[in-house]
Amino acid sequence: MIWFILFCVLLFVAVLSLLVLKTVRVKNSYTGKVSFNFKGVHKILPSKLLWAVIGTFILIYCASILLPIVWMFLNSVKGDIDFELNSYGFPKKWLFENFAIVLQKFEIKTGARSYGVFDMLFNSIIYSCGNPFVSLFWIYSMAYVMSRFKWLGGKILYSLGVFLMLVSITGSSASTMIIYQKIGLYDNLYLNIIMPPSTAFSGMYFMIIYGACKSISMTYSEAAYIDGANEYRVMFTVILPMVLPTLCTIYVLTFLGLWNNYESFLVWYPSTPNLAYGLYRFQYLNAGSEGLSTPQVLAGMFMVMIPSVLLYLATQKIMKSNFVVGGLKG
Amino acid sequence: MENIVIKKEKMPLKRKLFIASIVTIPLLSFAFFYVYINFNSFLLAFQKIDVNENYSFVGFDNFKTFFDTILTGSDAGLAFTNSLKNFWTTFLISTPLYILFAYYIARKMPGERLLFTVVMLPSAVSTFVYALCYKKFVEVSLQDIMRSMGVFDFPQLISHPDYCNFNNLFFSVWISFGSNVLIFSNAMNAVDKEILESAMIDGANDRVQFFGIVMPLIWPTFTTYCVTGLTGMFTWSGALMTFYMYDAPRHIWGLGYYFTVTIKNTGSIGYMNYPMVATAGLFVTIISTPLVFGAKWVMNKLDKTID
Repeated sequence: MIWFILFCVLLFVAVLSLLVLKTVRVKNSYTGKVSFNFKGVHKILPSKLLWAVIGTFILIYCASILLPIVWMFLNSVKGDIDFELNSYGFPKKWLFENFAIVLQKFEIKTGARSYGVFDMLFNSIIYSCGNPFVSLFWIYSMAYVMSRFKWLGGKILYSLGVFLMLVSITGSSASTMIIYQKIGLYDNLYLNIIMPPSTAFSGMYFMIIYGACKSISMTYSEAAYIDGANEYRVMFTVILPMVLPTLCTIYVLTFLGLWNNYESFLVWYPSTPNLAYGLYRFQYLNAGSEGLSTPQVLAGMFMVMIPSVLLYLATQKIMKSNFVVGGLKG
Repeated sequence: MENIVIKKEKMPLKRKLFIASIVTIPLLSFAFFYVYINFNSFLLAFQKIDVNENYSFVGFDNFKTFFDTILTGSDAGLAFTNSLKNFWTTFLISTPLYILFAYYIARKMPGERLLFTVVMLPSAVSTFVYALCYKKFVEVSLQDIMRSMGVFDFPQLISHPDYCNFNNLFFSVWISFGSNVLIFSNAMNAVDKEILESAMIDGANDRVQFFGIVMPLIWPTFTTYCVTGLTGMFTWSGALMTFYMYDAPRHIWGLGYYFTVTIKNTGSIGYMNYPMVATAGLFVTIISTPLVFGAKWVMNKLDKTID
């Protein structure tokens, strides 16, 4: 506890110092030289204290988010006994072979079939890449025809889409389950991936794409029509490249959600596990019975998170700039 | 004076066919997977399914049973009230924190880049990986740490009946910052810097800048956040599925969790509980719709007051 308090105090002092230095920093615009003017620093100090407290709290929060990942990595390279005796320290011996063991041994049995790591990886890739691709294709198509042409149906569909966003119908999962079982969509991952979304003209992502399509000047389309392009050509080769950054941002966000999705597999596709569902099921149903120890399960979890974290780090800047909901006044 | 009649331009047939070719499949999908399924759910709320999977209409009996469970504090009724209580607890705690974190990022305070990268990590890494790590940490390492500090009777937060709800609330708030902070910080970044600079020159302090300029300008974003958030008010379940799979303690079930656990039990016996899911869902839809529209109306009124 004393160490934690000491850590907080040091963090507070560091944040306060940075805040004060930022205020007293003076840059000469001609020479580019940086100097510090500490005159009257006692006057600005009280206003910085609150920000320093907030900054300390926020940095402690950041540490608490990073801690489980560090903890998971350190424990994923431990032996069984090392983990039991020393669960929050550094490993006595770094067992990187835990990762190789997971790749060999980790498997899930669903019905008559058993799925290895690479089968589950295949399902993860197909699901998280295919599903947003199909959904975005239909959402973009609807957004395009509703925003680029003036027709009564487009206006009606837009109003209906807004209405559906506000009216959240709950509890239809029971009905969905009955109907899906009757028509063969239940537990059929691949068929579900190629199905168009039930409301391709509603939802937050539709509204963002609709706004992006509407903001593009009609002169681009008109010029293409004059050059002899047909409707499909204008839609896919003229307008689509212009809204591609927005579509990419949504694709990445959807991909991240689906890569880590285990709940849909738990309820709707239990016989075709992806990596997230495999790990989840393994954790609750099979732990200990198939020869994988807790550190090895943690190694599996660490491997599952690598693709999504890399994708997130690579696309962070796009997300920062392209994700605004609700807009601003004025 | 000569009347000028502007003739509406008629849409060419080719374009009509193009639009039809695009909208046909999504509309068919909507008709079947949204309209038909929800209509069937509506009918299910007034039906009973027996062991032989025969359907019969029972009028409002399912609603009567549902209200009884609310009054007696059992099954769906208990889950309903839990969701409501827990939603408001997390909403009231987390919303000011999202805005504070977002403002910290937008003001480019020390460590803002780290904060921006870190808040989104749980969404990228997966809430479930976090939950499992958290579970292992709380069950094993936290106990070890407490013992090393001389606390020998520290409770198991996840399995102890008195602490499991607190644990679920804490974890849900802790992990939820990601996209919410992103939305608010992006909105705050879009506020014209010149407005803030001129306010600063006029002597406006941090409080005035925040409440007098930033909040009113990002009000549409705040309204969207509140209105869309309210739609989940009656089904909030937190991370119960992640922590407990199907074995969460009954007294902390949320309605969303109740739905999932119930529909997971397929087959004759499982189907018998389906009408209660449809009934609870229909009831929630009926009461949440006017609430959401009411909230939107209030937020828009407040917006005008702020102006």
